[in-house]
Amino acid sequence: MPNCRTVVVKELPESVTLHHIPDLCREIVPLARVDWPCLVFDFSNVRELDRAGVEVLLLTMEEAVKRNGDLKLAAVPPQIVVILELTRVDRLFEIFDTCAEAVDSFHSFPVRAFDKPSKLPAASAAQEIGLYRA
Amino acid sequence: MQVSAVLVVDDRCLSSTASNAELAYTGRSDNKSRSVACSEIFGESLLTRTVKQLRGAGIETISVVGASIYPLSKFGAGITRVAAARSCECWSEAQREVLRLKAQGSQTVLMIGVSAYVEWQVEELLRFHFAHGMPLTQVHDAQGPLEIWAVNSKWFSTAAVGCTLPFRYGEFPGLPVACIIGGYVNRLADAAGFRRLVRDGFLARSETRPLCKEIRPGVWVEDGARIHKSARLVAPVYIGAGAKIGASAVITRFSNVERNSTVGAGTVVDSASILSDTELGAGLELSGTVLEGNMLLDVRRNVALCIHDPNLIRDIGARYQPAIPSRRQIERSMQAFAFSDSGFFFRAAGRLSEVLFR
Repeated sequence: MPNCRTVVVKELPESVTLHHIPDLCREIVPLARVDWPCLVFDFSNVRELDRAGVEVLLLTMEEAVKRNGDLKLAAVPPQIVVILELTRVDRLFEIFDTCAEAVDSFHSFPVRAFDKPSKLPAASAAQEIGLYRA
Repeated sequence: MQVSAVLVVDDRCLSSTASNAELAYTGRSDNKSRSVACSEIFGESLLTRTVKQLRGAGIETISVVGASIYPLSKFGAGITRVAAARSCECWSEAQREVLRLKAQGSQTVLMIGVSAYVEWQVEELLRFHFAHGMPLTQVHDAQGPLEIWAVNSKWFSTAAVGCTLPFRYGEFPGLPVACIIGGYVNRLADAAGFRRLVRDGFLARSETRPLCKEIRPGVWVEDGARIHKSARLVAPVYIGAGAKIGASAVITRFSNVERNSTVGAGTVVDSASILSDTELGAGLELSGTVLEGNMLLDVRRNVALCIHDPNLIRDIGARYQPAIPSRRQIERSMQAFAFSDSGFFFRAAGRLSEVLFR
């Protein structure tokens, strides 16, 4: 589980397209090829994304997951979300509104399952959390 | 009484109404037939439908004023095409055209701005216009005025010379007289409006219902369409003439694939409109969108997106065709990852399809 590791935020350029991929790969590959890589891609400047760019995201994700890490996306503009949906990869990534939220998600305990009101009595729910943390 | 018509077609596109229209316009393919008036719905454009309606009402002298060349080959005879230098000059050209028609003997001219889908009766408007004896009548619906006028050409050539078109209230006292209609109206103000019109056509709420062969209940396929045997068409859908649907593609939920468009293998088209001469790549998912050439309009977010990657979406009607990067080119650009096979993208998409459509 990638917890309390150094999170690297990578700001992506305006165009994540075929012609810009070689330069981008040179920067991304060292980040993804460490133990437990925790990566956040900041999409706030991205205006253009093509199939090659989507493939880079998937390859980075694959590399990170192979090393017990994760890749999360932040500040993705609506037009880029449209591309991610079109290429059916939106459901493979966790997408956050801001980089801070994405970074926090690496540090916080994965308690999303407990966000919803539990049907169990309070005491037993606390016990479960305790067991899980132990 | 001689009646003629002047149709004014501007270059307004659906993408011009999106929230990021200015940004999206950069790199848009140069295809003039992408205006709202020329966008086909179930094989017929707004312009063609209007011409057909006027011909049905016995109006033979029709002028089409626009800045582009529009496909009206079926109605070539009797139609005068008037080219405006720019889209904003269409109405001033229309003004000159009315004067020309008056000189030819037309007493009443119907001026129509072809930008909204309106179900109205020509005879009803003319009857109303003549009964009131006023020189200018405008069609209204419950939401307000529409760009359809009946004009007395004699009055136009004398009292109205120099007025700015389209006609506005207050320019002439008591004019235009409002003729209220109760038929179906869709102003096609944005991509959502366009999708609503398609949906209403399928549900027979409007007269835009597909007229071609219904191969199964709710599945309309025009002659010349090629559908792979493993493709799934889930009603209601429409496939236009010359369209190609690839292997394992799924077309569903009020989707229309118009003339000469292509849907790649394994692509899912759900609640979307693919306008004519558009190529959609393989392994994609299109939901709640309108595709016009290389422009993608997301109805939910109201954003337009110009896609330059021909592997995803391509305007096959455009004069300029960007080169499609080969698989080898993509692989070469990703050599830093040192993968012998970079088909992960397709593998991931394939696995997801298996899970979703099991």
